[in-house]
Amino acid sequence: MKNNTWVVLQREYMTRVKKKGFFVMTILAPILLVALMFTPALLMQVGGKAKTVALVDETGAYEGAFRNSEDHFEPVADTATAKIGLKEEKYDAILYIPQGSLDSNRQTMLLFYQQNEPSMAMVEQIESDAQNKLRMNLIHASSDIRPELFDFVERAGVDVVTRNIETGERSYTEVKSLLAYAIGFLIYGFIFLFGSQIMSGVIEEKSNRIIEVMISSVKPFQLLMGKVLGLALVGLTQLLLWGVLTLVLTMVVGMAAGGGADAAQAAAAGSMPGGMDVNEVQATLLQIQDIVASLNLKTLLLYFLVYFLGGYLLYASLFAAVGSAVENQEDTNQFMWPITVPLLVGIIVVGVVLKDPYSPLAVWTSIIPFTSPIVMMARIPFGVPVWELALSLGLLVAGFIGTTWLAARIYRVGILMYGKKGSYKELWHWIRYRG
Amino acid sequence: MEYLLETRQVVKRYGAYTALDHVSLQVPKGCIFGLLGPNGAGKTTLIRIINQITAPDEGEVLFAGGKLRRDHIYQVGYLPEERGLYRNMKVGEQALYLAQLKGLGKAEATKRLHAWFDKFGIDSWWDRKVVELSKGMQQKIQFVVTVLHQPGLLIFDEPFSGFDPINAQLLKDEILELKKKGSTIIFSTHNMASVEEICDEIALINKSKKILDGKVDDVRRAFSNNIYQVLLLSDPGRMEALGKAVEVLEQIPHDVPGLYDLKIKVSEGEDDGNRVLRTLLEYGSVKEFSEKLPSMNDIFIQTVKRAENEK
Repeated sequence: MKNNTWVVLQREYMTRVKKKGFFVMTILAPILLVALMFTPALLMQVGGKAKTVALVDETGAYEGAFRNSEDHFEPVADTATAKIGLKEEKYDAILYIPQGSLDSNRQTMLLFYQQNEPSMAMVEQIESDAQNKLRMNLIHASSDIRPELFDFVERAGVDVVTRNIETGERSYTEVKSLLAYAIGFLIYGFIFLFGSQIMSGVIEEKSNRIIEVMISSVKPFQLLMGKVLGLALVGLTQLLLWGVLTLVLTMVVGMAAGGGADAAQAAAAGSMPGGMDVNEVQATLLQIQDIVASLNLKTLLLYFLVYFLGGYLLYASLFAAVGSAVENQEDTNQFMWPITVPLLVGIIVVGVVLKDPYSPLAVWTSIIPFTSPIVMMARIPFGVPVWELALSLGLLVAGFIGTTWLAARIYRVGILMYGKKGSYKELWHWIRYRG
Repeated sequence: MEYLLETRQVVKRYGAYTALDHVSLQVPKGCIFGLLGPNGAGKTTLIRIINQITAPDEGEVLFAGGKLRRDHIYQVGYLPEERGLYRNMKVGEQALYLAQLKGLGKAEATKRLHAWFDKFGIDSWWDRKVVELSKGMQQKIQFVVTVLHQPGLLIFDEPFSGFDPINAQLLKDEILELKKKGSTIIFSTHNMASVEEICDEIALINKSKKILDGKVDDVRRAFSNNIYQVLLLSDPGRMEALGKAVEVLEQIPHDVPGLYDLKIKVSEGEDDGNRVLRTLLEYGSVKEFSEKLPSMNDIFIQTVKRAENEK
């Protein structure tokens, strides 16, 4: 008897893993991911989206002012040549710096464009770069500062680093925000992906009347569990394959791009195309290592698996219950909102988490089981008190036992109910049926 | 008498609706038991209780003398009326899956499946998808899967629906063969001709209640309305006189001159055929004489109608 859950699980697992769709998803996702990682670096190599600006500098004072810019500034002798270049679409814009008095602390520049208006960011970048150069020029003109010192001052820069006062770790808030969103969406997507597969499986069995044949040899609960656990294994298999494939692909592409370190550095250094000296490369590598260390990837991965499974188990049997209450896919809508709404709330709250991971809304939604898999995962990179984690996990386990119990009671009646259109009132009766 | 299956005062309610109202049945070992009744009478509910898909609210079910247990489902094979297969699964895989759910090992199931598929001439379809099969072929697969684990009790719900006459005959032969090998078979159908043909016992359920049961022969005899079928060699003059002596329901002249097909009703209390026969001898020479028992179809309709009128 106990074997039957296992027999069902095997079928659910094998039929899904053997499907073409599974294969395609498994191969495609890592390729997309790796492509996403390397595209910035590749784009830099081929010139990509960086704009070419013709620089007509009549003052001659702004040489090298824009060397750190994302866009490429090409010195051009006069505006006439530059205008022809612009018309020929050789340039995206012309930055014209007219002659002014050298000791004035104001300089007007003109940025000509033809089709695509320059972005705010571009204008701000030019202003900031040029202002810096202008200030340096003014200092240079009225003091006999040593050239090395001048260079030193010109390259001066400030980085603000956030650091935990107790552990001394750096926080990398932007990376964590990105990760929080990514993980939240991944869990959301997985719950829907596998949940709806369970649902359509149940609908297939019911509408094709396979269930009638099955049900005399396997208890509805065993069938339900076989499905839920089988799909969970499919999900874990997919994750594992993605992990392995992504790793392998990263290494392969990295090597092809001239050594893994270079590639990683190139990807990370997307915003600084110009000359990066050896020290900067090393610094970047160290920074990546530091980020990885501060995120505590192993713990994060562990929690991801736990919350993925917990969240999946919480919702999976509910999807099955919805499937059992209807006879075709179109009728599922009326029963879907109790599943969709909490998941959507979870995703929306992730935005709040990013602003303040410790706000009451973020804390409570990360403890309530229906939203916790998404919200808590988004909070974990920022650090969560142990008691909150324990409470959240405990409630999640209680939650999925509860939903499974409830769903199983609907499912056992629903799968054999034909011709009767399910309603919430009807479902309530089903839950209370004996035996 | 040894019963393989017994239900005692079984009651099943769905909310305010009573699907089964104190139904007691005895299914003797090794017989074919017809479970009859109009649509919605409660047959499927009863079958589901026997299959332990649902539990009765009151009463009990005995299997081979003991209380019905969960592991008894391995000794039951059920072919439901509404039956389907996974459309995108291969025939062999599908059959193996269903066999494994009935507790068969993979190797044993494969061996038996090939033997049955060979017998039905569908073994070459092993690796084809179910969706490519005709309905008749799917029915064959479902039948094979139902009997594969050699259960002591087989339940067929409208097994012949969807079968063409040739395959229906094949199936009928298989069912009789299974009975010969010692299986007990519960057979639920609306097809009364097949009931007379293959059933040993019947129970008639109407509106949640059992209103009739017993051996098919006993039931038909009990419903005898004293009508005799006679083939008589006589002449028109004597036939007219006969009409005054006994109650002739039907009189059809045969192709052969002087030969008549007659249906004669004997009034209540005179159910002794001898007296009719003696009378008949005076009016001609009797070629055939037999009591005309009512068909199961008539009994079905009559009983159900009477039950309706009592309400």
